[in-house]
Amino acid sequence: MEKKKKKEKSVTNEVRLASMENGFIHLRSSKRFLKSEEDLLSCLESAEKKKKKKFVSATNTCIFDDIAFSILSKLPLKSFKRFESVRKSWSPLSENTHFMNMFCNNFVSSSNSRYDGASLFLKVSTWPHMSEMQVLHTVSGDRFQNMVKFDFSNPFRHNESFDIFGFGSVNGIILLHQHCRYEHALWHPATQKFKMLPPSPYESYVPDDVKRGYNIVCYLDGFGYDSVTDDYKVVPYIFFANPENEEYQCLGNKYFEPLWEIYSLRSNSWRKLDVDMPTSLDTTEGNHVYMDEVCHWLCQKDYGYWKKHNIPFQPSLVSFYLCNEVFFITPIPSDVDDCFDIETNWRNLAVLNGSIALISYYENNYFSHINYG
Amino acid sequence: MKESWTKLFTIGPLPCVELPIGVGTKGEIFFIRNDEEPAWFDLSIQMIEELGFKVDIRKGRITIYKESILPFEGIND
Repeated sequence: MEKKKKKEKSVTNEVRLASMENGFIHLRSSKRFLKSEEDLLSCLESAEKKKKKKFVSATNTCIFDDIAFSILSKLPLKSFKRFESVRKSWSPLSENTHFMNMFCNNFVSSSNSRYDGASLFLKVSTWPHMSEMQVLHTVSGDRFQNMVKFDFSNPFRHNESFDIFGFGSVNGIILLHQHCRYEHALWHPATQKFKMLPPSPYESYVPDDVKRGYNIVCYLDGFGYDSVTDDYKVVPYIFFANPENEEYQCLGNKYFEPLWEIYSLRSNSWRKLDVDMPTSLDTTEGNHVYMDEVCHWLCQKDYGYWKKHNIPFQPSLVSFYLCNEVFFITPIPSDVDDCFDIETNWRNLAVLNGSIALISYYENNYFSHINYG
Repeated sequence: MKESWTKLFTIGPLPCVELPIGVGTKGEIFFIRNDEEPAWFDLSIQMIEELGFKVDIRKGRITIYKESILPFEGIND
């Protein structure tokens, strides 16, 4: 009896040593050493089964809820969603205020190796001679207390104002975009080098009567790295707008359909992309995000894709895989975030702890922060 | 795909926000205040922090930059 008690005590103490490092859970139990989420899942499931079958008392086989919560609150969002349904008593964990507070605290305070050592660029517009000039500063420090003006020369003609595409740099490279002129530059701040992208050959795809009668409009939706071909790629959407019609004819017109293009740095050339996917039609800086060789953007209105395919429209996140040129649509239901139903002042996509975050700012001064995992 | 998304934070009201300008690596939200000074919201302590410097910002944007000195082909033109 005494021996049994001692054993139970040691199980409890050891389970409390659970920690998470580099995405792996190290959970020491009396019998086994858990190295992965799969191990934790199977351990939780088998404990649950045993508990149901009443083979053994719950105390020495099941992981107590508070300990399990403490472990689960340290998982990446995607893994946590998998575990959410393991125990009936937990579900839905995402509606448990106590658990979510714990989870959110860990979520924003855990170190994120993806961006270890990263700083920020602050781009500021000034109007020294009645025309806009853009100045860059680097911002660094734990409390962003250090700001240094970054020596930078605008690569575009006439120093025209530009946008910085996406959430941040991709392997140290930043894509600058001059929206009005449809010009793009890759910028490597560490070496201060620029690479102006060559003009797209889209004119060669287009019949002359389209060129005469319509404005060609380009929206950037993707920029990122593809490790399969060791290449950097830029993905714009091009359509033909009737200058006399205030509404852009995004679905195309009787003359010509819109098209997707892709630029490859390796070949320094453009080609038409054989894919039919929703575009963002959005030039708001930060409404596009790149993570792990996938480009993501928000589609806030039906600019033709849903109508064309006869599907009811829902605001969505579109994810485009650079390696195989396949896309996925993830709807954003209004009961999760109604930022598309009402006028929001601002929206931005971000990468946070390996998941995609959508942050919205409402007119009544509230921010909402939802994450895709 | 409701289960794909999880609402993590609702913040506010923050009446001093004039214009959000970007998001940091830990979900910090950067914005320009009504008095035109830049500030940020720290999610981990749920507080507004000043940036500690002054800059004339009428239109700004925060982007994440992680330096990589690895050479890569094509950019050296």
